[in-house]
Amino acid sequence: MFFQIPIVGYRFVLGFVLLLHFGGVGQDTLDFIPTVELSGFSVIEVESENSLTNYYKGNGMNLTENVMERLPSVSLIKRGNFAPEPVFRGFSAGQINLTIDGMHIFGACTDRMDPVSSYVESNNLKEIQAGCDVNSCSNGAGLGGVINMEMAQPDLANKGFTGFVSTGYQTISNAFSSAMNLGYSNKYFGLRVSGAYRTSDNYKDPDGNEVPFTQYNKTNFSANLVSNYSKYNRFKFDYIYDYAWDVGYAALPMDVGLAKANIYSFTYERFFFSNKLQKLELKLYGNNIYHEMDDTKRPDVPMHMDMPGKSDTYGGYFTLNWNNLNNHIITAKADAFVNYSIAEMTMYPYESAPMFMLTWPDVRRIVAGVYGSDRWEINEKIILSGSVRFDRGISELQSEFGKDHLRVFGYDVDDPFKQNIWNIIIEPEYRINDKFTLNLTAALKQRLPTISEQFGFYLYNAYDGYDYIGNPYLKSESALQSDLSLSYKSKALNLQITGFYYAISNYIVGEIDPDLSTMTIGANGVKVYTSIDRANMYGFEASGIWTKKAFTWVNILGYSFGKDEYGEVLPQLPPFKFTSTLTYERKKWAITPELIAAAARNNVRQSFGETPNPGWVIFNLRAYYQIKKKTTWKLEFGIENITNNYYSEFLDWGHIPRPGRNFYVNLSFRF
Amino acid sequence: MAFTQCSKDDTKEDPPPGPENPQMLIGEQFAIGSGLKVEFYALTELYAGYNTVYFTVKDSITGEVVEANEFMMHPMMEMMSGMMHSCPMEAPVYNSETKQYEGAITFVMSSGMGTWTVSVHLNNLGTAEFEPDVIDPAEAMIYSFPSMVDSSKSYFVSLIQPTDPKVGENDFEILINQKVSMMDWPAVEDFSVIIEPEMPDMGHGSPNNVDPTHTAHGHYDGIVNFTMTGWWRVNLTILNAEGDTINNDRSFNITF
Repeated sequence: MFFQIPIVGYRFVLGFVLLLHFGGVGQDTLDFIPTVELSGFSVIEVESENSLTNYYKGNGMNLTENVMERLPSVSLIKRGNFAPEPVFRGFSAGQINLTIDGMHIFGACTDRMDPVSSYVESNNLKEIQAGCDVNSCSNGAGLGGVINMEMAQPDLANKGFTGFVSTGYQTISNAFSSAMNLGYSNKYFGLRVSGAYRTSDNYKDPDGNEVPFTQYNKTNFSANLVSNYSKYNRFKFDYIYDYAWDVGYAALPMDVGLAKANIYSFTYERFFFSNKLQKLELKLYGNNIYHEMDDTKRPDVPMHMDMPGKSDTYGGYFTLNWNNLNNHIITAKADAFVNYSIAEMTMYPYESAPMFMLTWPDVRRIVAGVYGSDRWEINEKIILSGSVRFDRGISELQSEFGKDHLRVFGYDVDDPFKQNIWNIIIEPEYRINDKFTLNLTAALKQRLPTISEQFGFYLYNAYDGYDYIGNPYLKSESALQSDLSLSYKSKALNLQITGFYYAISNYIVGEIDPDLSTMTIGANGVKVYTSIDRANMYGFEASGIWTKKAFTWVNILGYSFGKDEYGEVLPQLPPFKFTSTLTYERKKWAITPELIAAAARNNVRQSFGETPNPGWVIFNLRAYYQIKKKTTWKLEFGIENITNNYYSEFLDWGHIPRPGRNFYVNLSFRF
Repeated sequence: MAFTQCSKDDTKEDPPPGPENPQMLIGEQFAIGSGLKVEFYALTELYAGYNTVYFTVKDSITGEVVEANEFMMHPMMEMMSGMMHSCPMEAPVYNSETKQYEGAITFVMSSGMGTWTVSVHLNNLGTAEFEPDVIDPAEAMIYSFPSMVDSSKSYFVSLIQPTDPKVGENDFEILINQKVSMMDWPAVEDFSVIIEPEMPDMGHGSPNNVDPTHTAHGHYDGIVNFTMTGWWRVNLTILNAEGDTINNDRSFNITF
């Protein structure tokens, strides 16, 4: 029915044991991917049907980012009611690497209104892999961590037609969403197509007032074709089309007129079934993202602006996997991509000529890298893993017109900017006994500056009210990371706690330049990206899952804190968060009360315009009823924010209030 | 500059200098008595402000391009009231590669209030007289003011560069003349200039501009940075040789 992975072994999620195999090993066995137990790495299996997945999915209408947020290490920056930006342990934007199926992809909005996760529909996800452990740099450098969204594949195990249709509604925003996927497989190929449609009006706050500019509309289509005729060779074609329009961003001065993505790839896999070389994979891919901001719906706009942006990426990678080499599991990978980013601003004053400039001045960035990892089972108790990644980045402005923009700041942008970055991770693991495991991670991590940080031209940040200018000479940000993790695993109980510390150098921030005048009307001033020598980030994540008979109780906690060398708190750090979800599950129905809480954040970064946010607690109650025969009908329903609490999270820009009491219902049919 | 330039295309590159620039024929006249005729060219329609001018001298019978022994140019305006005045100019000099005489005329006003005559005297034998039309461009390319320090002194400032403004760094060049009398318009070589560009619709300026400094013959060269296309206003402050501000409320509008 639904594609089940005999688990990429046990990618340990802070305790989430994916021992929840669901029978039916398909022909598509994934034993070749190292079956490792790792800490600091979470895998959310989205496409399966168990209480943990239900924990992740929460409200059936949830966006992909809401699924990620259920991890202790992930928080969300919200600028509106759509496309929140993932934060991993307090790291965001260029400090984390967001990929889809290992493909590099970058948003097309200079104001980060379209993180890559916004182009992925939760209906199309097989897994979300989030972490910062030894294998995390296999898809590219990620200073704080990485989040890889793996797409659902055709179900080769069940021949014939399979499918899923779902429809949902929620009251607080008059939102409607529907999704479907249809699969067909025979002994030659498997095909999966999906479609989704979501629409939402503005939502209401707990006082019943409509919160303006929180509407959104989106549609998504995907197709995946996999060859099945040979157990040695496999070909895959994957395609995603995502289109969102008329999306409000309550905390920003502009909304999104449209956001469009085409994401496509071709993959060839060769399975060797030998004792040593297991698998070879070649992937070629591309994605084209187009994004348009829209201010026509805002009252009192001093001057109308058109702000379109484009981000096109083309790349490929080649991977080899070996197993059983004297207890070593080895992966080698080479990958490269090129990204073209350009964004414009056209302003229309009342009586004079339109004004035009580039805010991303026509940048081409090429990154080519090699990666190797080794997992060495020294003995029953000790496993030593290590990985190394080297990337060379070449970034340049492609047109004289683009270069002329940055020349006004006296920058020499005639030649490309070249940087080398290294990511080296060592992870010893010690199995104290059959219940306790101790895990240490020590790493050097580096990342390139983002296009905005390196070449941005008057990018207005609505949070602190400053125009930001890029700095082509920025050094790579670098961190020495250490994680210590202890996990306890028994039949009924799974606990994990991880403490982490990052010593960051060349930390990239914007600093005010008093000699520069603003461009945006009403801005407070101009900041130029620069490096400061030192900053620290530290915190912990903890999770516990207790299962007994029909009960499953999931608790997660997460906390991050950090300061720069001037003693100021780092920007946009999520406060302490706690989620507790208790599920009582019978054969046909389940009920789940839930508590979500966050502490106050009073220690804030004033130079970034942050203001304190009080702590809050909300309660949700979820339930479902299903009839499972040859087909499965499932009715999910629930209440969110039962007490109609007035609150907002610290990372909600503008302290925009969250929705009030919400009733939702979701009906799905699976065959 | 928002006046029509029939010889330019709309690229953002600076046009190559010299005779590769397509030139407009302003007129052709015989210099009676000299056996020669004169063709008068400019890069655009003549306008109130600094104009680079080119003359080709030809044998009036064979049409062959020749170099004259003596070439003198005199612009003069007869106002409707009968009063006559000339204007600043740079005497044309022969360029042996292009076989043209190149000079400049800074028309201090357009033809609206009288008639401009440009007389070319050749070899002391004959004069070709042109009566060109001098237009008012859409954006003023010249302005005048009395000195704040000594109101009896009158000065004229003309914009020479940028001719093809673009986003980024632009050469900014002006010419400053003093009107000593109706016929005497010497270049001023010892002033200082401060520029402050802004976009009036937005209220912002641009960074890293370089104030113009004197190069030769009253020309002042600097750099103006434009961060985007649109309507820019470059405000100028003029200081005399003693460092006193003699004017600070005039500007040039540049829209592109």
